[in-house]
Amino acid sequence: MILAVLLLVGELSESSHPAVRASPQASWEEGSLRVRIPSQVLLDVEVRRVIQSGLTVTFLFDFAVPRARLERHARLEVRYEPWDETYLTSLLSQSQKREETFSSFDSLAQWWETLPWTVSGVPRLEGSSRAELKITISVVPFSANEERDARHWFAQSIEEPRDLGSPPAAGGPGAQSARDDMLGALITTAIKRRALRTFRWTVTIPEQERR
Amino acid sequence: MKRLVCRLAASGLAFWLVASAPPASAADEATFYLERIEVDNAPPAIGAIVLSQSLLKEGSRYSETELRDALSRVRRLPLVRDAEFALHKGSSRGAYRLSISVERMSPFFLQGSSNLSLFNETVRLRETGRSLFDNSAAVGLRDSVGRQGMLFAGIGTTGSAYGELGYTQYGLFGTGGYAAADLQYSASGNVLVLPFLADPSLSGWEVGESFAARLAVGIPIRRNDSIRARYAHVQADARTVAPVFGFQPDTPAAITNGRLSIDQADLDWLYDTTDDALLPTQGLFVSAGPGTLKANTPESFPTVSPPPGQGPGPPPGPAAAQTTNTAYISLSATRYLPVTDRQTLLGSLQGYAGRTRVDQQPRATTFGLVGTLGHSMSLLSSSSSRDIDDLRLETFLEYTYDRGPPLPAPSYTRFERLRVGTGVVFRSRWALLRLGLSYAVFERGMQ
Repeated sequence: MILAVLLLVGELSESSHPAVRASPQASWEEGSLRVRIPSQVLLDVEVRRVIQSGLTVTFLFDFAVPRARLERHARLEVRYEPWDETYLTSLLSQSQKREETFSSFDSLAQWWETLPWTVSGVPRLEGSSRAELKITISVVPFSANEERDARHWFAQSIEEPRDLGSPPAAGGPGAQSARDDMLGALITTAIKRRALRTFRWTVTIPEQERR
Repeated sequence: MKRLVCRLAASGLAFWLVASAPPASAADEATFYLERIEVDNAPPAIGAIVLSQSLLKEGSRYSETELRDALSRVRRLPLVRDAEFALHKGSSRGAYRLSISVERMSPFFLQGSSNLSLFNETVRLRETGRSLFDNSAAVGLRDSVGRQGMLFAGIGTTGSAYGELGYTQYGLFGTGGYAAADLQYSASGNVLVLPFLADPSLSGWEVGESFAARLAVGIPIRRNDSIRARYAHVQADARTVAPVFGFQPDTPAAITNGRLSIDQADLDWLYDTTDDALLPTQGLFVSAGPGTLKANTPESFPTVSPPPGQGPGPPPGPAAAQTTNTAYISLSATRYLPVTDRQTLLGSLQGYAGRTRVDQQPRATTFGLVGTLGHSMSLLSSSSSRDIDDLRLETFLEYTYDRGPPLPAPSYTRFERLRVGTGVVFRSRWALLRLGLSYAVFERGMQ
């Protein structure tokens, strides 16, 4: 009980909000809620500095719709390769796994801005108030990325990637499958590490286009 | 108490299950051939220490995991406040230059702590009562000397004034080994309570001058494993002695005339992946190995006998000098598990089992354990914590159990303590300050 109270107090007090002017944009596309994140995260001076170190930087994405008790998680690794002057990325989420290489920081930032993050399984929410989507991005430098073995185990467990926007495996509105629960828990508990920077937003889910 | 112990054990087991990562292959991890390794922002002596303790060698290939372990080793050095790695192009394709940037701790340091301890019964320590307000403070200097050496000196007070002088030589045996020596002298006025195995009567010894010498040698055997040998000698001129528990208002402390001493030596295998020597936020620390503990306590002469049947006061006649010898094996494991950006849980289990001989009596089996669950939360936001120093709120629950040799009263054969506490820790490049509050419940058993 004491531990639960401490964790709750800690979560409530974790309100670091670096000045990021642009907000993520949420929209409905092909029946799924998709989010695009502004590239200011990448352009943050401290974040860009650690990316240029040539060692892997991990971005942990947490999406939550509190009214639907729904959470989705994803992870993006970025490593700058000094010899080729390229940026190697590895994206892993509950719905996809892909790797790409970019020839410049600008092209990486452009890809970042246009990349649609799918928040699958958002149900129709009745009521007068609009539903909110909470987005948290934690930037974890290579030195804090402890559980590499856990990451590999997690990566291997997604041998059959689902398409972006595919429906949840089971359950009613807002329900998460046991598999999603397990994978989400793995990302957040086994991989989440002391962050260099944390960015948080709350965006309103567009109502008229909700399913 | 037993039910609570079972619950603690179950919580500990659950913690370890959650904290243990499943095994997996690391075959596809990128590796880097390090052609050159440079240490920035540090004088040559400190650069040499950082380089030797990183265990990285020019002309070798390392994975990111190995580089992260090396960075953790550098960050655990007492003279390093923070360090970062960066890879740059080397002279030919595929070769890299590793740059280690180091932020030094200040040569001047200040240490201080203030603790209010509350107890479930009256205890007799420096003061007598159900609470104890303990303050300590120290100031000192530390700096690199010679080739890979570090010297430190300090003065302080823990109720009595003391002075300390220490030296650590890094880069030994060509493998990143080290040797450390530390001398401490304290003026009069302290009350010492010896470890349970050294003095099962749980007495508070008021001492005059005291002296301590400690030696340690460490040799790395793999990237996170090392062997460490330690020896410590503590001696003090005892003046009076009184039982810590079973306080009787009319019973003065017994007079002693002699020297008490403790000699302890151990040899441990260590596995350490923690990210900080003082306030870790992630990683695992394990130690295991044999050790010996020898303690001598002097004869004491009670001035007044306690009323009959009123607790374990001093015996009616002089208490003879006592020597205890224990050979033991110890095992300790502590896991630091970050659960959010700024919060860390810790679970720790330490245990020992040994054979103890008191004077010429037959050897008896003794054992003990300490289980701890803790929570640590940074009170600084992640965006400011790199510029402003550590400020943490720490909370813990600790259970201690000791089983001693079967000795007659006033010695105890069993000692248990349950302690819960919280505190704030501030650390900067020149200071470490703690403010704490704890509550302890004791249980003891006699033969």
